[in-house]
Amino acid sequence: MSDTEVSPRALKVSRGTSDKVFRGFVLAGASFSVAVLGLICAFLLFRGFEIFKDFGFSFFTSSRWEAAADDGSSPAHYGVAAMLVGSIVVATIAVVLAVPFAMSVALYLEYYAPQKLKRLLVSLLDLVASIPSVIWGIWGYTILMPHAMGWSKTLNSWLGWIPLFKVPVPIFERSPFIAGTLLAMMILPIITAVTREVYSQAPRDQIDAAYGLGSTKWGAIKTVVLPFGKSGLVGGTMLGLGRALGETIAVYLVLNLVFKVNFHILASVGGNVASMIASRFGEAGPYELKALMAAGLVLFLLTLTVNFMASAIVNRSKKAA
Amino acid sequence: MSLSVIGTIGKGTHAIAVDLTVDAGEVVGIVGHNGAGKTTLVETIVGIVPLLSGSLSLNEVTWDDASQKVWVSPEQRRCAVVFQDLRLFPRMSVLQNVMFGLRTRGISKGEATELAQQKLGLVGASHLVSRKASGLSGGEAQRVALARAIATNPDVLLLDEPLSAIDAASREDLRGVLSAILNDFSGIAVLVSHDPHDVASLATHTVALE
Amino acid sequence: MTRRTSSSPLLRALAVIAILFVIAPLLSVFVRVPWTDFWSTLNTHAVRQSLIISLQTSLVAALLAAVLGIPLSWWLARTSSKISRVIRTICIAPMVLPPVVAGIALLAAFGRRGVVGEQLFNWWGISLPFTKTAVILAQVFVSMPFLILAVEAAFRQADEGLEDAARTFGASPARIFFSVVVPSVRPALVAGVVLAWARSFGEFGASITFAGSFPGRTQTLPMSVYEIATYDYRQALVVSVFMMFVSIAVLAGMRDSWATGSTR
Repeated sequence: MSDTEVSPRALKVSRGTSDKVFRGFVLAGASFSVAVLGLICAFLLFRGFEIFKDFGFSFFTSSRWEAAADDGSSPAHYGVAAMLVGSIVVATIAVVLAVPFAMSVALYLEYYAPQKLKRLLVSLLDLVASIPSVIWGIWGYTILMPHAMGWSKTLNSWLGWIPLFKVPVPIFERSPFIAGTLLAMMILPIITAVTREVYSQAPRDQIDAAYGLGSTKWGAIKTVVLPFGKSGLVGGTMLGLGRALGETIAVYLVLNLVFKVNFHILASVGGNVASMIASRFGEAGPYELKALMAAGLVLFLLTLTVNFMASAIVNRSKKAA
Repeated sequence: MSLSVIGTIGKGTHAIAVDLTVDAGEVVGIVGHNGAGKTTLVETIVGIVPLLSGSLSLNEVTWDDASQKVWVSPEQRRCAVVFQDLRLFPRMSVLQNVMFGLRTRGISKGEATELAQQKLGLVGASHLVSRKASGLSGGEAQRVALARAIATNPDVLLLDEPLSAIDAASREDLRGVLSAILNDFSGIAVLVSHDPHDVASLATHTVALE
Repeated sequence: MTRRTSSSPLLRALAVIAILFVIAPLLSVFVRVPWTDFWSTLNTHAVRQSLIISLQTSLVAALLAAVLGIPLSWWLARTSSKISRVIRTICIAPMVLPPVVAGIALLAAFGRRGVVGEQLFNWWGISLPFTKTAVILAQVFVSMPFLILAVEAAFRQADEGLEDAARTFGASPARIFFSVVVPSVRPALVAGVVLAWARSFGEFGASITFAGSFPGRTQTLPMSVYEIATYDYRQALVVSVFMMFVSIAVLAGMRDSWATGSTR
């Protein structure tokens, strides 16, 4: 590898400062990512584990989130159950709403839409995906919520006998349902994008064979494309789920955070780990900050797991293609 | 000066045995059917592909030897290649393409421009100087690639199918140009071709790859 | 593709509803915004101030992301060692890390009482949190993965043969990068940087936790919108629309640069 000892003649290769600088940039880029992420993980782990040690399993099972009383009469207690359950409830609503739509958009774009319309719609989805979440939140609060409250009432009056749609107090504002609906819109583009990519790799010859057997386009899709793209759909869904779990500010604006486990999705009682962190960190003391980081760690591990599963599934389907 | 490649070459698992020694002033013609590894041999000599086993050396300097862990990187080998797919830098002008190897070796801009223009003249491509490389025809690009390779006055000149991208009429002309260039060339030349006529008229001897 | 009988009205209906579902926010916002006093609502001291901070920080962040991310992406695209795979995963990981979580962890690390922050302050008197530097750091952290993903894909598609050729002509990695690689993927590089800029411009969670929302100092436009939303939803909507305009303009510009790039 050495420049000097292998060659008796002086080789004129301009390996000057520019090269060193360039290598420096590669190194700097890598170190930045590694250092910042490393710091974040280290702090989440260290601070988080202090909390896990102090509260043990009750950090996951308790819904109480109380700082120590100033007069020392009651100790601090932190439990993340309501927020964790809330996160999962809201994200699940989002996914359940978004997936059928995302799937049909993906199929439509890939197999039905004229080229021009397809390009337009794809750009539009890209655009929607790039809207900052604060804007989604404000839109959700000002424009979506009044409508969604109407839908909630209708749902409640028809299906109120099912516990899921029961409302203990008739307030429909800022419910998990509304937050889920908003999140569904936000994650639709990503699910569509992943699903569409996998659908587009469906084996052409099998589709043609299905046509050859007298099948209609929908028939061909049903027998060839859908089974082929199943893992793509699952992977895209998981990616969407991961994003929905981590969404902060949009959810915060349209969800009433209450430290109580609630499965009545139309009621104005919800939870969300990320939003809770955002709402509490401002006035949090050092100890509560640690608890928030523990909650952050739990959320990070959750989204990380979901995303890993997603990319594993998507990769597997790509390899099979 | 002599180049020697003794060992096996190949990409992946398929290994091809090579035993090749070329002296300065010689032009060795490499022949063989498609997939025999002619291009791989070129890529091995310049250092894009490592040897699978054995040793590659110029004079007493080992360039590549897996067992001794010796590797001289391509930018230090002072080879020049006319690639089969030419690989002109598409975003540069013809002149910039020919100057590229000179500038990287620290030759001043003025001197490099002069040298490049001279070599372009040699291959009959003077009129192309300011054209963009991506807009050239196959034959034009072939001439430019040749000028770029000889401009650096390399120790080893490798020509991978240097007459393939060209139509029959100007083929004869370029063959003459190439013949003159190789006659004047004092280094080691390796010519890969599937055309026996090219090899017969340009090479001093022939090696067949199985 | 041969067009057969389109016998799937359900699918079409669903697709149309879904597209409406997605476009609805765009459309409804435009309908609901008070256009008549759009500019006067937008043109307040608070909004101007935070817009300037947003522009400053997001431009610096995009530039930093480019400087740090582009050479790295090339390296990632051209090496397939175990180390590069690990580094790649680490570089992409911030995409799955909720920004708020990243923000509080950064605050804990660099805060006055944080392990790193304490040393920084004791040795050099540097305090990161609640400064523009913190905003920029948070933005780079959040936006760089998007840049790396976009740019690395472009590098992977770029002709490696040209780079090999340049090496045989004695070119150093730096020269290959600047005179061969960059010119051939320039549209994608521009797109990647623009993407990073857009992400930085809209970044909220990590920067508000790490840098706080101090008007005139660290309050970016998204933070400002959020604050305005607590007392005047109408004005917040106006600023939102303005931000959406910026997004649309940027994305439209990017599409154009892609299109011209592909028809070269």
